[in-house]
Amino acid sequence: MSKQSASVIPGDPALLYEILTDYEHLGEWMPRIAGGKLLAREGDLVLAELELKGRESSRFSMECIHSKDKMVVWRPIENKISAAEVRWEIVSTPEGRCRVSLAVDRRFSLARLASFRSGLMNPGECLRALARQVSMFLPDAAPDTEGERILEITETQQGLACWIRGKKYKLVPAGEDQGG
Amino acid sequence: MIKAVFNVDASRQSVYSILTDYAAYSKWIPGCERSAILSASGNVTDTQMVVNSMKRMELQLRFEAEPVQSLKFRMTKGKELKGYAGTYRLMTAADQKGTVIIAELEIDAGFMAPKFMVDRVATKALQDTGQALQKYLSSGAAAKVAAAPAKQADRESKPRRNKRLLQVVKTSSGYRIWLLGETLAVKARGK
Repeated sequence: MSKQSASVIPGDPALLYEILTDYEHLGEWMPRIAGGKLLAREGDLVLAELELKGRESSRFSMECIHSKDKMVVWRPIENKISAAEVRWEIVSTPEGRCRVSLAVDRRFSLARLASFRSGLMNPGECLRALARQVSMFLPDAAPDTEGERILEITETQQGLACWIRGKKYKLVPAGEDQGG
Repeated sequence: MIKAVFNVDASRQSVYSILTDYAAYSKWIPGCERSAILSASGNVTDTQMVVNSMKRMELQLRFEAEPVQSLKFRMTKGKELKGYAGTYRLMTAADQKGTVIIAELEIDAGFMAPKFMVDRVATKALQDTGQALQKYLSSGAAAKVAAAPAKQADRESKPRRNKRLLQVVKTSSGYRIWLLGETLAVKARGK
């Protein structure tokens, strides 16, 4: 049984591919996923471990097959997960956007019918979450065309940066700053 | 087919050496009472095992190894089971220190037991094997096996892009707050 959905998301295929294959940060945006870990990588084959939110023994491993900037396939290894395959396909459109389709194939099990409507299995919800995540990496995504920018916080390679009325400040975790 | 993944703190070469030391299986595989090599040719080895799990079974297994990559096995002779086959695939862990093993096991017990029960036994057997392997490696057995440095996996270390988390813009009608990809409007009082 398969469930699928598609959506047009602003952004280039490379950015979308990068987000979908960044397993360490999947928990930041993917519904029902608490966190992720890259276990191993060999060429286009990746092994990752994900943790579901709010469930006991919720860790599971998945084989991930990548086709750069085009497709990402996740196949949970353990049978306890209701999704048998999650397939993301990315096609760039002439307007600089991407048409992203997501298909979720599930294993048939009467015991797992309840989880079918969960976030992990809901392609529409996952695509909306992906669009939000993508927008965080696009400078033009925030609606700042009109008005005065009061405050902005951005995560950079060097750490968190904060702009207050155009002046840049560095944000340092409490305890790491000189003042203690 | 039952699948499981285990992560062990040893190089791929060490793990491969232990998995292909068939005669030593009785030292660490839970329930394996006896293991002996019948014949070996290249990377194909025929073995005889006595396993005492739910039932005491004597079976002959053929192992086909792809050095430091994978190990396949299947039953070639046995009275109690119709089929017994599986694979161990090895990958260098992302931290470059350990090894990740993807294990697959298929047991066909025929009419001896229902499939769901056999699958449960197979799942438990895989989990126990993973734990036993880690224990065997930590016991120092791995040190005796010639260990080669782990092959460096190709890592993609790209600089992370800047990510905007919050933006507050003052507009003529109030404030527009953009937070983690969602836009919220806060209107000024009276507007």
